Amino acid sequence: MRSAARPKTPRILSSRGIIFHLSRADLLNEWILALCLVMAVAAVLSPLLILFGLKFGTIETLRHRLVQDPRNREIRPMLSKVFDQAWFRQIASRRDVAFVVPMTRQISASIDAILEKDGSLEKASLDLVPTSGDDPLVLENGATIPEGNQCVLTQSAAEALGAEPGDLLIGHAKRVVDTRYETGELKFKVAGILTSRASSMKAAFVPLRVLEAVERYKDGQTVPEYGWSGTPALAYPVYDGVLALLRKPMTRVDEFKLVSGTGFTRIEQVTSERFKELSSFEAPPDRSIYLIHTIQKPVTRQSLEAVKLKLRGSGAVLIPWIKELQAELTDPAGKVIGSLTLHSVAAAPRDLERFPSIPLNSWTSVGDSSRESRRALLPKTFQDLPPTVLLRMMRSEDVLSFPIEVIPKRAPEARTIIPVQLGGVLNLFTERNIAFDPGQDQFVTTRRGYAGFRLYAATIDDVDGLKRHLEAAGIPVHTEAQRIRDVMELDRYLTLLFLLISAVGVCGGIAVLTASLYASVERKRKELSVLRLIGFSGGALFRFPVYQGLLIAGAGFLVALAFFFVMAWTVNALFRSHLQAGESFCRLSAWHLALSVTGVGVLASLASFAAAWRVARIDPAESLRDE
Amino acid sequence: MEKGDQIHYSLRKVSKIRRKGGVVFELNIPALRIRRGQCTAFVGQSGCGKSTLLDLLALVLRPTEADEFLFRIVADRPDSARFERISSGSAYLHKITSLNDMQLAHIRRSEMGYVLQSGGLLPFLTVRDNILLPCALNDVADQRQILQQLAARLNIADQLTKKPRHLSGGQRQRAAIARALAHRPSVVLADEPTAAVDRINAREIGRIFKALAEEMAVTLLLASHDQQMVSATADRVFMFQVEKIGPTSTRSTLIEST
Repeated sequence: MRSAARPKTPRILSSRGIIFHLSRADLLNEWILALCLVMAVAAVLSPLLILFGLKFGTIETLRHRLVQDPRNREIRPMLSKVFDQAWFRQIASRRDVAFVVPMTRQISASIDAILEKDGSLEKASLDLVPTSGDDPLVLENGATIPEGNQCVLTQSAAEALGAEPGDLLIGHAKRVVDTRYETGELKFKVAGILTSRASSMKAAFVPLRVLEAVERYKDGQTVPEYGWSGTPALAYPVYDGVLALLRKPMTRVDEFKLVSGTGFTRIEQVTSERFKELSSFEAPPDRSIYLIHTIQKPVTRQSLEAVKLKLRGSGAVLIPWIKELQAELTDPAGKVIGSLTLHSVAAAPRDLERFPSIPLNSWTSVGDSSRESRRALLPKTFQDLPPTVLLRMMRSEDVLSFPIEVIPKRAPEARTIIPVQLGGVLNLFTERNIAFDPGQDQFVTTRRGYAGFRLYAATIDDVDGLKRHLEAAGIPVHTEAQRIRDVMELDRYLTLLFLLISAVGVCGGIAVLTASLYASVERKRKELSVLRLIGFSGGALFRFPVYQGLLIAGAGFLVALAFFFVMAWTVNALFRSHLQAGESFCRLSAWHLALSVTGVGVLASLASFAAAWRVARIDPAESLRDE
Repeated sequence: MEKGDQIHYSLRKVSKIRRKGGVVFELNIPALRIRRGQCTAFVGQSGCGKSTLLDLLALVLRPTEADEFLFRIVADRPDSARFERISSGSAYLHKITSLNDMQLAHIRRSEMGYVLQSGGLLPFLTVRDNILLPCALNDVADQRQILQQLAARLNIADQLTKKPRHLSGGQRQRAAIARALAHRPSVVLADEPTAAVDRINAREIGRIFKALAEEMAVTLLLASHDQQMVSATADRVFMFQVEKIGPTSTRSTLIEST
């Protein structure tokens, strides 16, 4: 038998994994004891898993809501101020800004909406909110950006109106003209309805130009796009000063009286030469000449009228004065032909040909920026020009371009001479936006800027930096930064609490396992010494209780995991009404499971080391004695 | 050389002194040569040093002094070669006193089988797994064949799937014998193998054990208190001469019975 050939038949038992096989067989043999240990481990682990699952789930839900909810990335200005286009361009170009849209004055953004449906009529007052491009509040709350005459309603607005996507909404913008109400009608198609978290307001999200139109209408202006009548928003002339020719000089007191309350801030007596330089008129002899002007802001016609009123009956001659302006002469394609210095002369537009010997005529009234005032007497350097050229003015990033009639005659000096009516309007451009409207053939005022904005940071972490940036620029803003900080803090405290509780639990678990495994090997000394006798090494048997510890802890972990899933399901089911899709109050990530498996393995190994140490030292001779 | 002529153990002037609870016990082995394939019995009452002798021969106890303690490694396993390199003296006989614990454990695993008084079976393994455990440790290939042959010869073929606690005392000893022989060791040490079994059964087990040992050319070392029992099976019988040499000292000397 000894010399029998050894065919390669599969082995029933192999040396590989034999210790594992033995430790498992031992556990199965005493399965009731093993089950008790498994339950003891599960009793330690399941509350810990559930506790951590609750902590993680709750914090993650809160954090997810914070991160996911665009409202927490919103930065709202706390004051109303004029934000011009340049400001919006600059802020929109920032990396940490996801979206910014100008907002009109709050007061001019409300309309009355009516929805007629199935014979019933629902009314509600809605706030119009501007939106565009990639507005996260709209896009991340289940709607698309409205275009044209579309609007997106908030949940509460839709509920108040009984509106559904596709419905046609009629909006009424109201204004008071003199003593009566006027109503401008708008029509909206409901393109979508936002989820309830977006806003609790009754609001309609619409393209910005709808709000601009409503604001213009409420300001009493005409809005041709919607067929709303009103006063056209014509550009009006503004002046830097007025030259007064008086028969006799004034006392200091008279000077003061003349200026006060007119909008002008300064008065000074000037020489005839200075008068000629400023006005291009020859000063009549024996006159006292005063320049009444402002330092900063140009004044309107009302100021001139006020001065005129104060000087009535004195035979004074008043000539409005405007500082020289800079402009460029361009061809129709916008190519610059030359730069011009514009000098305004208080003469009727058709008297310009007589320059420089225009007779001093008293200033009566400055009309509008009508076609005939857009004439210019160009310097000699410009020859062979068409009868109409384009003039362009620039103020930071704003451009004003308009056609002007070229007087065939050339000016004797290097300055370009324009009528004061035109100069006044162009002077307005130095402080606010105007445009040339070819339809009306007039200069019209355009938006100065916007009263506010809707701003969303790119991520939740950008909120604080943006807030600091805006506040440094003098714009106090409101953010949800405190809410974000609160959650982070809660997370920290809960983690600490969890660590304390788990430390106690894990210590108990280790103690139970250590004691049980040690008692078990002590009980089985005889059997284990037989194993030593038949040739198992101490090192191999060292693994015996370690495997048992791992098996027990592993099974305990699985039981705890089963408890956890049942509990998590129950908790999430109980709080379903407070949860949004995809959220759960009690959950663990795969990463946590991997970590806890590793942790349980390490701790179980640690717990079994005392027993393992004992086993490794069992004397093989023990089995041969004490029979 | 005939297998029967090979020396399996060779001991000369080996002594082991054990102290326990203030009592000193000294075992002396003036000379002991055991041939391969022989059945040698050590007979004596409890406390005579049988177990100590068996421990020494099982290589789990180291002698206190030894002029010579040689053991032959027989098994034709590939890794038995490495002992020949490290052992001094004879190319076949190994000087046990110069081997370390790891090497001794290795020899025990591959060369030896054990039958303990109450079987020494592992309660948590089936009879089958108990028998195959030494095979597994030694990576023996034809386990099924060995298992079937031994189980058939020992008449426990229908007990293999049971746990030891469901077996009778006699069946347990049969299973223990099967386990001791399963990995084809060169020597089997049996400590009172049939003490817990009734006489008729004990004789039957002893007969099968002897027969199997002979067939497998296994050197059999039996320890027993029952001279009548072993004289039927053993080729040689040794006894112990116990003498009190002081109030707390006992000396036991191994002598061959004639």
